[in-house]
Parts: sequence; C-alpha cells; structure tokens
Amino acid sequence: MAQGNANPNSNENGALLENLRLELRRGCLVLAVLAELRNEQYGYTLRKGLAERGLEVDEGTLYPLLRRLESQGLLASEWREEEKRNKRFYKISRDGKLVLKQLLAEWQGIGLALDEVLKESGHGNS
Amino acid sequence: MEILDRYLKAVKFWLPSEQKQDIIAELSEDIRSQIEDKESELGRPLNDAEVDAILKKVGPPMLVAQRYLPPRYLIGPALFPMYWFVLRLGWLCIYGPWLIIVIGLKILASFGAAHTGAVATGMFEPFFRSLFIQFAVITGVFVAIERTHANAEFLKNWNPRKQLKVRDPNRVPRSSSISELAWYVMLALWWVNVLRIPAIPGVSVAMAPAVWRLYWPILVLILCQGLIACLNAFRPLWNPGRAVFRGIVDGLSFLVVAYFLLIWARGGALVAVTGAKLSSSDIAAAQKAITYGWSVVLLIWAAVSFAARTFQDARRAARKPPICNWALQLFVGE
Repeated sequence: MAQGNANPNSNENGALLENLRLELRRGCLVLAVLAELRNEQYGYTLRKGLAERGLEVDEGTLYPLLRRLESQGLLASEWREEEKRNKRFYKISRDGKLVLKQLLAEWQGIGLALDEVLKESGHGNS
Repeated sequence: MEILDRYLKAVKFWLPSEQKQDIIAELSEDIRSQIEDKESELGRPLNDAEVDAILKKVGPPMLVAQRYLPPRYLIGPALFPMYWFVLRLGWLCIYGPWLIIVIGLKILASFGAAHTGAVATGMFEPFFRSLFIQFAVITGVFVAIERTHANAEFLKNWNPRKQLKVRDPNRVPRSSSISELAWYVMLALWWVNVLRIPAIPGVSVAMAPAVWRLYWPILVLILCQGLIACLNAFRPLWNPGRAVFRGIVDGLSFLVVAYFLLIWARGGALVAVTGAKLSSSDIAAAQKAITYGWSVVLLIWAAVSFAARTFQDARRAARKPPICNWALQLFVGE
C-alpha cells in the first residue's frame, strides 16, 4: 500500500494541523461570541467563558473581532465602572439576534450535511 | 507594573490615532484581569518572570496592534498574479538576455585591457538603476489600477466565451502580421535611402563599406521577411512550406548578423561617422559606441528571436504543432 508524505509526528505537519484547526474554529467563533453575548459581558469574562467551554481564544483575536462585530451593528458596547475599574461591556444587538438566528440555522445545516458526508465515507459516529 | 505600561505604550505606538485610547484601555483591562486571576490562584503577587510570561502569551506589540488594523495592501489578490506576471516578464525578457549579453560583450571587449574587473563592475550601475525604475513604474501602475478600481468593471463583466476562446497555434493574428509588414516596409525604405533618420547638424552617419558589401543580400532578406508578413496577413495560417521558407530566411538573416558581429569583434565599425568639426578621437568613439549598441541589439535579436522562430518553424515544417508557451510566443511575436 502506498504511503502518504504526511508524518503525523513531524513539526511541519503539526503546524499544518494547527493552521487548519484555527481556520476551522475561526468560522465558529463569530457564532460562539454572538451566542455568549446574549448576556452582557466584558471581554475578559467572555474569553474565560469561552475557554471553560473548550473554545480558547486569545486577546489578539477576540478584541478585534468584537470591534468588527460592533462596527457591523451586531453588537453594542458601553464603558462602565465595575470593581473600581473601567470595563467595556458588550451585548448582542437586535440585528445581531437576527443574524445569530440565521447563522444557527446555517450551522445546523452544515452539521447535518457534514454528518452525512462523514457517515458515507466511514468516519461518522454511527 | 512598569513593564505592563511599557508594553501597552509599545502597542499604542502602532495603533491608529483615533482608536488608540479605546483599544489600550480594553487591552490593559484584559491583561490586568489575567494578572489578578493568576495572583489569586497562587495567593501572592506575580514575580517579573510570571508577568513576562503573560505578556509573551499576549504577543509582540506590533503583531497585537496589527490585528486591530484592517487588511492593507498596495496591490490586492485579484491583481497580484497579473502584476507578478508583468514584473517577471520584464525581468525575463529584458534583463535576462540583456545581462547575459552585456556581461559577455563587455568582458570580451575588455580582453587585453588592464581593468577587466572594473569594466565588468562598472556596468552594473545602469542595470540596477533601470531595474529599479522598471519595478517602480510597474508597481506604480498596478497600485493606481488598484486604487481607482479600474479592473472592477473587467472582473465583473468578464465573458468566458470571449476570454477563454480556443486559439489555433498555427494561426497568425492579423494585427501582428500587419505591424510586422509595416516594420519591414519602413526598414526597406530606410535601407534604400528613401526614409531618412533626422540628421545631426554637421555630422554624417553612413554605413561602413563592410556593411555596404551586403547591400543586396540584406535588401532581399528584408523583402522576403516583408513577403512572409504579407502572406500571413492574407492567409493567416502557417503551412509547412511557408515555415520552411521563413526558416531559410531567418537562417540567412542570422548569418548576416553573425557577419556584423564578426566585424565588431575584430574591432571594426558598422558605421562611418564624418563631421568637419569632429576630431578623429570623437569619430572613433562615436563609431565604436554605435557599433557596440548595434551589436548588442542585433545579438539579442538574432539569438533570441531567430532561435525561437526557427524552433517553432522546424516543428511546423515537420507537421508538428508549435510549442504553446508564453515566452516563446513573445519572442517569436505570434
């Protein structure tokens, strides 16, 4: 049987896997952030909440994303003092809720389609 | 927390001025929260190494700041492949042969001279200058296209039927035949002295006697090239007979070029310069400069164009399709 070039233990392959993993997660992140911000939170607690659910995201990714979503009108934010420190609190906007609903439907559609594909290729759970 | 302030200051430097305060306040809050969490977990204040580890995890200041900026580029992904192609075309078609030939000729010319190395290194200055100018001009044009979105209409309205049409490699575009014909007509008129290049007052430049010796063969070759261009304009499909004919004409043209180069290599001149006010050293320098310039141009022409054309014509004569390669097509001019 022919062997592929990929070596699961090599550094190059590890970097490739990491890149693909980040690419896969990037699309899901918007969905997770919008869903989490149905309850008002500030950046750090949002990041901690996502990490506790297994979706670790660094500051350099989360804060620019929050700004982008706010500039697109999907989030609203305000600076408020809490525990003697100024914090920026984010919450999903009305447009954000509509978009989240549509994205969730899309996400479920993708999940079902992917399940079918994986099942047919023998990688499915069932 | 001196190090944290210095870190935030470094990030701030790279941020757009209107967002600096806002981004830094938020980032500062996040990092301070991380430090506090770690301190409450350990039950003591963090030491320098532990603070450094947190900052290291956040990332280098420039990289952190860059993530807040919109993607910026001079030439976008839609135009970049074309930009890169044009740039490479310039390097390959102009500077590649130019560099090889000029180095060869310069070194040959300096044989026997005391400063061969100086001659070889001195010629790189104009090369790099023109390389830089070419790079700047091409980049400038593409940046202007990108900025004005001049390609947007083309990208929106591109037509697969028009842009992806099947090209017959044996078909000669009429535009190329007509421009070739015009060139040979002008060349023939110049050769028989009907068309004259504006003269420099007080200076006369004529062909050297060694060149005049080939007056009739050269005229016949120019007319043959013109005839081929004329045939191609009316019947724009190559056939083996026409390919053999052009192969012979190109082969003979190559011999003429070789003869000219031989004259130059032996220290002779291709032109005779005369002028009442010119000293003999001025005349010798002018003759040498013109001969040198001609030799370079003729050698490029002969080595690249004739060789490529002969290669394609040999395939056509053998009833094989010509090689479809953009570089060959460019040199052959089809």
